[in-house]
Amino acid sequence: MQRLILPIFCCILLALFAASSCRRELDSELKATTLEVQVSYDNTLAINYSDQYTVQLKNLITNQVDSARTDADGIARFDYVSNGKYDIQVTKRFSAAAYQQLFGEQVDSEVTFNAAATSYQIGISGGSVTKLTLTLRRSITGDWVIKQLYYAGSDLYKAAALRDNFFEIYNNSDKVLYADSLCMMFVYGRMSTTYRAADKLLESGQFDWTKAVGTAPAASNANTDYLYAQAIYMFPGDGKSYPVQPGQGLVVARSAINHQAPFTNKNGKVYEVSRPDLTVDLSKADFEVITTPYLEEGESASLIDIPTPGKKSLIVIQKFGKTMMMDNIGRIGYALFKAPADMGSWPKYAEVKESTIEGKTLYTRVPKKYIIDAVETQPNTADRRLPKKLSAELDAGFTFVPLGSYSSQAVIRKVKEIRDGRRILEDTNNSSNDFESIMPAVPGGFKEIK
Amino acid sequence: MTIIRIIPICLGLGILFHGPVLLAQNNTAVVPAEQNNRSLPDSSTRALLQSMLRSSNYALSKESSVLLLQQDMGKQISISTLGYQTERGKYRPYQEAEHKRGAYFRAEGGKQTAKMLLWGSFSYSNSQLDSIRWGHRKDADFTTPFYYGSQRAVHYQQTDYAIRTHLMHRLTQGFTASLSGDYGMGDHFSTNDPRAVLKHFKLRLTPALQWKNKQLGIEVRGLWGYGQQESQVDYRNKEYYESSQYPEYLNWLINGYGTMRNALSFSDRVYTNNQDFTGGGLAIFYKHKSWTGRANFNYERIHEEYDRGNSSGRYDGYDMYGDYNVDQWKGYIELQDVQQHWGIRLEATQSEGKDYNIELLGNNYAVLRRAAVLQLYYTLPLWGRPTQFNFRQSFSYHNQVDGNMLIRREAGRQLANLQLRHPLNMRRDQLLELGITYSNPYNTTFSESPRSSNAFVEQVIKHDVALDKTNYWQLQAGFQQYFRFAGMQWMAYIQTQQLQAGHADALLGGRSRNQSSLSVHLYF
Repeated sequence: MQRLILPIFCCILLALFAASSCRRELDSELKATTLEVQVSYDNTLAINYSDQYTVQLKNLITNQVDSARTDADGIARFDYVSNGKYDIQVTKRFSAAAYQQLFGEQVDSEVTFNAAATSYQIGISGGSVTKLTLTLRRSITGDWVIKQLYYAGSDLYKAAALRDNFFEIYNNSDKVLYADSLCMMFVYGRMSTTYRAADKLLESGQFDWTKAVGTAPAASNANTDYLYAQAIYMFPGDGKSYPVQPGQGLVVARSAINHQAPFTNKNGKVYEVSRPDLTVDLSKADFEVITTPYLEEGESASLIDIPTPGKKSLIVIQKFGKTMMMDNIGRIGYALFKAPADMGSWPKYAEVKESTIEGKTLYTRVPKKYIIDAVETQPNTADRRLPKKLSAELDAGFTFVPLGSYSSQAVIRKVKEIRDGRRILEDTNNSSNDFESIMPAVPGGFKEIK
Repeated sequence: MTIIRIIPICLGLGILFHGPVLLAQNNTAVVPAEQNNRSLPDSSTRALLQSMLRSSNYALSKESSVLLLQQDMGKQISISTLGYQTERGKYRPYQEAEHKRGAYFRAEGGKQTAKMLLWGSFSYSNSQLDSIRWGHRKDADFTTPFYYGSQRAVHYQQTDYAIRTHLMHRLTQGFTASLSGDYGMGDHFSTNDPRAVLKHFKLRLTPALQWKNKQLGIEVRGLWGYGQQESQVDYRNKEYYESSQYPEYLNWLINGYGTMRNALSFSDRVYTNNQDFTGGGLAIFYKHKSWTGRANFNYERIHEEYDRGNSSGRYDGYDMYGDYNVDQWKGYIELQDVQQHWGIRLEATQSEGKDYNIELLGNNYAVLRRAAVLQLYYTLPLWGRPTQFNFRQSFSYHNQVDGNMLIRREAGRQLANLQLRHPLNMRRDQLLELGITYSNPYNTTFSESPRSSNAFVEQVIKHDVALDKTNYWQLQAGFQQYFRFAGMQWMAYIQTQQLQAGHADALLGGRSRNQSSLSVHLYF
């Protein structure tokens, strides 16, 4: 028996040895899916899909962009789509003649339709085929466009920090326009990726303004027909005071001074600028925004909100903070509008998590029908991006400065063409396509056409 | 932090250098009884260092079983080791350094009496990695789905401390109870961009009950522990902050096997991996007059949760990325003759991990590692001197999947190794070691998404898949010199291994790797 111990033991070992080193299949719950994007229109028109539509799919984890064309049924198919978050968009441009032929409506210029789904989550519940419908909406186009947004600011210590913020509007038409009473609105919405009142959010993750308390009851169309203003600044004038020629713009500075020179605040403290190349000279800006006159009685003013001699300020309809604050991270939207009505009577609402308006910051409800142009900005990193504030007909995409806060970068509208010496800017109402970044910002200028 | 480091060092050194010596002085009456028993093999520490079978038994038992350690360590043991090792060569996994060097100090000692056993060890190691890519995380415990990485090569330095203790006390006739503690901590950091700091610690406690008589012994044990790893990534040069314009410097959070997300935003730069350890084990021995059989099995579940915060607010508003469970089974059975002239052992391990990824709302990453090692030990007289032979045959299998990136990578590897240790003189104070290894792959399959790829897949995974498919030879040589110095017993050990891959692959960049070490051991 003793002699058998070793052979028996070895046999057991060999059996275990063979069993313990063999291969085995592994599985993951996440599986690739086929994404079918149905492209449709927001009206009952029968569309001929023989004119193919290109759907773009951008993976927000890998930043990889794919595209697929629709078939005869208007469906674009993407195979082997991984789980994750995606931006999906489709843009269709019609020449005036083509638009008239298809829709029966006479127009003067090109018409753009946009549809988009941003941060669209493809998860394990989707199954082997995930279906999505994108509804094309005719973009709102106007003669005025937002041309440049310099919200990121420049180096905190070597340049001007956020004092050098500015925005620029542009006459993209072939006729003289008047800036009088034109308003720039900073569009408010979710500012953080987490929110404690989840029950007061829409499926998109954006605020459900129908649940907000305000100076008037929230309307059922509070989310679809309105935007909510963090701040509103209006150009002065009596209607014909500020003409703008075709291909010209107006620069509105936070402070219309040369930021490349040292800055002295109201207390006499001097801020040196050791890297003037990182900031801009705004002494030639057309307007600035001075908030101090609009502060409540007893409210202390900002030390940097200093009027520049010879410069006019926009009228502050609604203030946010003690000086014009363009969100340096890029979490707000910008909209140009012109309202016939008295804006002072428009209702205002507190953020949806609030149960009272007492002592809370209120946001003015602005009807979308007055919007002339709108641009959504977002943080530069995908994981910090927020649910969209602007719907597809206003801005189907978003823009951002790649280097983020204090980077000296601005976003500027691309030049589509130069006609008779006049630069016509891109305006498809999709800022992902229409804008590009520039460093440093060029107040009144353009990015070189490559 | 300094105090936290110093206390365990002092405790460790105090126990290990003075404890065993003092205990030995107080219990000298117990030792001669065994020394007079000539039927048993030499249980001295020197004999343990010289014997391949005994030292491997001791190495296994001190990791897990007090019952078996009691059989392997002799009445007392004390070994202090100071060493230096270097590893160089381009034949390596992509995330490993091309040149790695490090110094280490280990001290371990134990003493057993009729009523109790006390054993403790302390180890310190410091490694310098010339450059690593895609891995701001170099703790070798096990693979986890979350860690930082960048394409930019960073110089890495890591310092690790570990203390392990076993305390066993007799309860009644045949019954004993023991408590084992395992504490480890460390700092790893790189100083060039992107900079990273990794701090980790873990504490594991193993209570156990033993019953034994002269022939049979059984141990049942449990495991409870917790640990934490905290990684923080930052930049020295501000232009790389929150920028995707410098792709080489861009930090990614690898959250699967091939899935990655950029980790630029401020709030992402600190993440914490909280770990819980639970499990249990069983050990058994049976002694016959001519042979001994032993077995040891261990199960452990490691549960990990990943939280992120930021470096200023730290955990203010942190998010949880997901959690991860790893089930580990380890075991071995062996048979050896009483004189330990021969032995046969089968070791088997399996580790299976699965995550739940909160961002992707499902289980994305799964990993399976299996290994089986069959070892034969035999002592044969050559030129009148006992020459030890060790044949080792192993099969290891590794399967990793990432559902999001549709990665499937399987890699099997067999390895056959023959090693001998031969005394160069009759005093047996000079021992020569020689060894040869051959390894070749099996079951190597790889598939990826036809639609999407990324830099991690292209650089890391495809490199490692090429490595999976290579075969290689390895030669090893070593030399042990035993001597007395300053009235104490020492051993110097030098060892080198040269690996040469059978074929070159353009992705690998090299075919060879050398590992060498030099160490001095003080033993009692």
